[in-house]
Amino acid sequence: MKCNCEDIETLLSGYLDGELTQSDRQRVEVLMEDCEDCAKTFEEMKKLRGEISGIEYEHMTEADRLKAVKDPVAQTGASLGQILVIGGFIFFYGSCIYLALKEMLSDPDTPILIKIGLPAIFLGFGVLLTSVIIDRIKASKTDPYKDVEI
Amino acid sequence: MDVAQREIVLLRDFHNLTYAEISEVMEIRAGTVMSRLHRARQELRQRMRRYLQ
Repeated sequence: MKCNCEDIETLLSGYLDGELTQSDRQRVEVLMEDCEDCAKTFEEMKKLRGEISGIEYEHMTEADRLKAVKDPVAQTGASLGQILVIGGFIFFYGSCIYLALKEMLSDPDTPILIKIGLPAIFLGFGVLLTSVIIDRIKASKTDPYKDVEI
Repeated sequence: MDVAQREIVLLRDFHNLTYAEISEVMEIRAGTVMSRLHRARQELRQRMRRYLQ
């Protein structure tokens, strides 16, 4: 027998999950006795629910994770890229500053203030950068966590 | 299936949350949990029709 049960059909999910009141439960039970479609829907939903609760997500094993992290190609690529970027940066800016200073210092029209001031500023930047780098190297050598694997 | 439908089915059937907990997590009214869940399950059932025989 078919029924016109769209309004009550939603209760099938509540019934499946045990979230209905006593009276609604009884309504559903009566409905499923009378309506084959509803009973079939319920059975299918129950089956799907079982399948979903049994899903297992695959986790990466520790060995696979380490293999991915320590991949030699990726590691070499990363350090090579870093060296190129930092080296290229220093070389490029160093050359620019050198050329600009050379031009200015050799020009007899440049005021003496600039001739002294600008090189001092660039020298200052250089000294600061060097001291920061030295600090970092010292810190990384004394880092108590440096052997901790992430 | 849209993300909200997937979410509600997984919250109920995979994570075993009650309707009250689902309404809290998804920030929807407690009264709409059952109908939203039922619609999602119907959608899933339609899509899985082939495998349910």
